[in-house]
Amino acid sequence: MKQWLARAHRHLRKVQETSKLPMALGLAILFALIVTIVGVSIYSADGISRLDLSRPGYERERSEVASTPTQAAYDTTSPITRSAIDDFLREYDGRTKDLGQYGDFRDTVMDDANLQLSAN
Amino acid sequence: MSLDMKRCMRTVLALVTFAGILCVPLTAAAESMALPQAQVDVIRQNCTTAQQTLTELEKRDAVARINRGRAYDMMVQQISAFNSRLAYNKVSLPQMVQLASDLQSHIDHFRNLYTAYDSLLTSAIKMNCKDKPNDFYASVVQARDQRAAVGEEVAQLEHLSAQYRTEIVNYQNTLPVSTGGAAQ
Repeated sequence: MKQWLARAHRHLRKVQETSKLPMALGLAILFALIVTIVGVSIYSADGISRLDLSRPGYERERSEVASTPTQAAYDTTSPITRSAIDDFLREYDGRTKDLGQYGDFRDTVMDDANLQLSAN
Repeated sequence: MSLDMKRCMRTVLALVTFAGILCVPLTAAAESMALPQAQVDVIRQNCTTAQQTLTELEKRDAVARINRGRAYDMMVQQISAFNSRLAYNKVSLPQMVQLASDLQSHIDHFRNLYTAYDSLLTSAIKMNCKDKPNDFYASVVQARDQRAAVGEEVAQLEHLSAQYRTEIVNYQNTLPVSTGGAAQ
């Protein structure tokens, strides 16, 4: 057994000395593969992939996504006045109006009749 | 009867009961999805077109989910900032803090419901509907129910945001017109 281990050790050392570059390349590829597998698993497991419109076939949908507005800096320390509330409501109502323009998942597209899945 | 025999019988009985419990919902589901032959034929005939419609719907809903998600986030941000301002001015309106918290939890729920809906829709789209029309229909029904749940959550969010607005307006009406300062 000891002899066998010693021989294997010698052989490994020989391989190590003669083929350092291929081994390094192999290890790098293995590492890249592991990182890629982990990344893709996270991407598909947590639902991010479902909202990724950069995929092929989503060209039209990409243009329908509202542009991200710049991060608003809100005043959190000034006194609250009637006009401050008016400002708040103006922005709030604008946002509510925007929301009214987006799909609300309450249409009847999935009804049997629309999908032509009913016998009648 | 020996002790080992009794133990063996008990194990078998437990396994049979467990299997029975598992089978009941499966059988019920299968029975509920028992479709008349005429409808199965219609499904088999039209399912490819239905899958194309569902694919288009999935894309459209993804856009709605992204736009809504962003708008909700910005709304919560605005509300949180305003609640902070109220707190800084020592105005105690716990119902508004509660509404902001409810909004956030409903937004999280909306996201989770959408993810579940999209998974069901994807499985209906990818299914071999010609070979398995019953399974395909069952998937469509499940996805439809889940989509309705997403729609209900949207309605709930609309209700909460409207309620927050009402509270703000009510508070505004308590402020003196001339000075316009915060009620301490």
